[in-house]
Amino acid sequence: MPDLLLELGSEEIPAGFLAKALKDLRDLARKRLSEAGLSPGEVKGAATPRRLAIWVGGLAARTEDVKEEKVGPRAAAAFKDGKPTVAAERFAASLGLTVEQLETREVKKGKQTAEYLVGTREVAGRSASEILAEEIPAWIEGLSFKKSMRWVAGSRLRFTRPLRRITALLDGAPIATSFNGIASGTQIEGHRFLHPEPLPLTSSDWGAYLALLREHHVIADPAERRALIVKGLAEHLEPAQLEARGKLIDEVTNLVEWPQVDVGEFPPRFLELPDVVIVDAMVDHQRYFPIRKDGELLPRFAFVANRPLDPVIREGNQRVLGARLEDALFFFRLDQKRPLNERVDDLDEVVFMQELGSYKARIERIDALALAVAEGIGLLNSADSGPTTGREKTRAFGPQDKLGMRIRQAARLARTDLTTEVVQEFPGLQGQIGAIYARLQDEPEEVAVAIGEAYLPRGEGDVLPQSPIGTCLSLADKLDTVVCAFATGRGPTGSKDPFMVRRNVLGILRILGERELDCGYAGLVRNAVAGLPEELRSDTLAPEVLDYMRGRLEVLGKDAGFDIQHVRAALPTGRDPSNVHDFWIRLRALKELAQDARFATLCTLVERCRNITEKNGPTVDPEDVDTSRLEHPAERALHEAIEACRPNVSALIENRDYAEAGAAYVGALGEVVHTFFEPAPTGVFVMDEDPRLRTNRLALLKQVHGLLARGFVDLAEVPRS
Amino acid sequence: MALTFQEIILKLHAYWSAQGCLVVFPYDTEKGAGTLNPHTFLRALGPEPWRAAYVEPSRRPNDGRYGDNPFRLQHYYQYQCVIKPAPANAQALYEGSLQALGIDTRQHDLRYVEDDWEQATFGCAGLGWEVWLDGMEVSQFTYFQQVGGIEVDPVAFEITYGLERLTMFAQKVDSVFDITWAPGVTYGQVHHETERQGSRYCFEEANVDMFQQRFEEDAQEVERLLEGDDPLVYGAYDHLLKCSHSFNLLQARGAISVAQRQVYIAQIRGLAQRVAQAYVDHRERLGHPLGLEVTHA
Repeated sequence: MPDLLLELGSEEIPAGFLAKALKDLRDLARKRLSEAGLSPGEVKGAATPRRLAIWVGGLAARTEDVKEEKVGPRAAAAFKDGKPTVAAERFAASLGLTVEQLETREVKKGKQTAEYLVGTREVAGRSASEILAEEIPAWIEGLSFKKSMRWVAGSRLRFTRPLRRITALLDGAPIATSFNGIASGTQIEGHRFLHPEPLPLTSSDWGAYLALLREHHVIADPAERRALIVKGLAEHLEPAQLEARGKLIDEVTNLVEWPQVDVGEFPPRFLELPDVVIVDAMVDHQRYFPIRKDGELLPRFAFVANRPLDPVIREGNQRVLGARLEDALFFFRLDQKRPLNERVDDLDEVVFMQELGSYKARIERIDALALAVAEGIGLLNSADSGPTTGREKTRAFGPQDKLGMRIRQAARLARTDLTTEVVQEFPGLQGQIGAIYARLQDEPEEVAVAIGEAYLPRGEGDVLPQSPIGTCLSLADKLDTVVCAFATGRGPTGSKDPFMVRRNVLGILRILGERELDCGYAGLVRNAVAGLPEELRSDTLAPEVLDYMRGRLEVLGKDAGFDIQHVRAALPTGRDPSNVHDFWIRLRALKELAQDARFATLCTLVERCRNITEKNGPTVDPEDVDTSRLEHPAERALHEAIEACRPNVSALIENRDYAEAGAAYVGALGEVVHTFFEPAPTGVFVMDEDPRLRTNRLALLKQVHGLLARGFVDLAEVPRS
Repeated sequence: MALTFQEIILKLHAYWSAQGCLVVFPYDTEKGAGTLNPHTFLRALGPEPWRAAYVEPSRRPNDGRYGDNPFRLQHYYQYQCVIKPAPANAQALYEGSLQALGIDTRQHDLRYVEDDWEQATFGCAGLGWEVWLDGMEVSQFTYFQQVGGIEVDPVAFEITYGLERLTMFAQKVDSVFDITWAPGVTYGQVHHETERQGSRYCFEEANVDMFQQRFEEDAQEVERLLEGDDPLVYGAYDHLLKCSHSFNLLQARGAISVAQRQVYIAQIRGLAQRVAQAYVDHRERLGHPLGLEVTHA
């Protein structure tokens, strides 16, 4: 069974593109070879910045000969006066046959059967190398990169960087093909600088290929390179630090062909800089690994070279880092000359959104909103936070006033770090730098913490703000962004989300839920809308935002592993459906309740209650029950059961003992509702001719549905319809 | 003995000259980078082949640090090489230039790290790398894809060496001002005072009203020169460069708000596209005197 070895030699492929490109190439090769009838066996792959390589084993040497049958024109149209028509002649010619070689046969087309001309021709199998010569260029063209380029004059073909070599062997024999002017060959290259000479390949053996590269300072398997790097780093980094640098290790793995880990130092005087600045300079700018001991940053760093180590290389890297840190120190000291509180006016220059002016204009909105949030989550009483007027001024200055004041201080300073040199140099550090500077400038600790937390969470899985002020500020910041985006028509659409509304909403929902804040977001959104300039407010704005947020909450519930029907049952209900904390409690209670064997049947019956009443009695008042006209024993039993359990169920719901409320409900009503719906005479015929009886019954069913739906969950949503 | 600043320039001239490049000269109008010298910006357009190398004094008013920062300057030097069409051995040619400077690529860790270059103000974009020499970015290597908003074909490649960085690497010094320019003369002696005064001018003294007015006048001049059947392309481009420099100075003076900034940039880009198109048309009218490199497949 022949095997294929294919290497695409490219100028340096961006590290971030490599893993996907290799996977795509393997998948594409497997798929297309199967389609071509070469029944590929195992597919292996390797990739470095300078090459993508695959090996395919167990290929068929050639595809099988097949007889191909084609149906032509109807017999009726094929001959005229006993002579073949033009249509018949053309059909025969298209198959390389004469009309005499065709046969006439009954063929079923759709529902009709008729006589047709039918031709059969032999299609000879093709050799694997013939097919591969056509396939390989198509695979290369089929690879897609996030960014690609043209490089050959007059050609529109693209690759992520200029492709320079195609090496293709089938069972050791060259496959003659070409792409974008590059003819295939049988040579590969080793390490760019240590072995610039071409290396001839004589076999398509995968092991021999990898070994030849290894002899020439190339480790082609990314997993092996990664393992080597991890092993090298493990000598210098504590396990937790190593763990935290997974993404950087992935990137560095694909920046090198021959990884070697070394350690350099920088002058300890740079430790004057905040840790985050030093780490950012190392990680983001130089792809170095910071080294800590017991949490303390050391004036050392680990780096990965692409060749055997040499002191010259270490010195070079040390000098570069020193230069970067020198630069950062210059900016850091410059920043200290103007404290954050003098920079508030500078924010006037920083545009937030065109229609909404600058970040400075935003401070007032955030300020008011953060106070509203503080009230909403119960940190502040409404009387204590507003602008104090008249008699209130004489009140004693209490802790509530202090909290309100701190929130305002933090809101004022929160984005001032956007104007600092260090943040302009290291944009990823906004917020963190604000917090650090606030501390250095003797702002209260809780204000400093809040400035840093206002940005949290920065993305999925990131930590949440923990301090009360930081929490208020973060929620206010995100609410304002979301509402402003919707108000100016910049809400998320398909793939576009210029103000990261999705991420901000997720942050809001996560903070409210995970921090267990007992506050609905609906009220907060309305507050945020009220804070907008008048021309941007509209009646449809809040509903639009709330609708979007509910949609995200649904996704969040599903992603947390809850049954989607349960999520839908909990989403529109509760005392405040927008109370995320309560939503999770209700959802967990519902999951618990669903363990009860009687639960599923009851849900179906509740669904029936809802459907009947929605259809036949949308205007019926659930309380409109005339007890004197409860005639059927089953309806009397239902009425009594409802009355008996209602106080208990309501009290349990009030108390948030949802699971217990559900259990009491199921226990009290499971049986009687079932009997109610039995066929008459055991059960009750709801749609009686007597309107009074009918109203009674519809009202009872509404009560059954409403008892849990009002404060807990809508059981009618649980059955899969 | 490590090479002096001027020896590095001379060696690069000798090397690229041997590779068939025309050694040309800095352009006599202020600009932010060597790419904006018409020897690159205009010559990269259209089908005619081109090979050139030159030193370009470059001005970035915002990067001034009063001579206090060892790495940042508001006036510095780039070495620029541009070859169209980009040959298949472009990387090897570049590596050869490092060898010519005595940097043995077998002794160092040389890396091509993804960095796609963009000059949004002039409608330029390309794909390429920053080149790392033992961790230090010493050059920018770009295959042009778009110049002045026009898709280029054939594709030119451009190498920009940060001459100060490269020399600091070669001389192993930690401050740009400690670079030996020629035996006995440092970069600091030549440029420390120009940096100090230049920074003061850019950040404190440049006359905002005057540069705002100049920007408008130069922009009008570009438009005027592009009118008619035989537009003065080169003159228009000169005034476009002046617009760009005025804009950079106004920015350094803090005279441009973020919102205004977008308006300025859009205006410059619009003019750059018109100049680029006018150049392409002009060369076509001349019948492409340097020849046609493209063989359309």
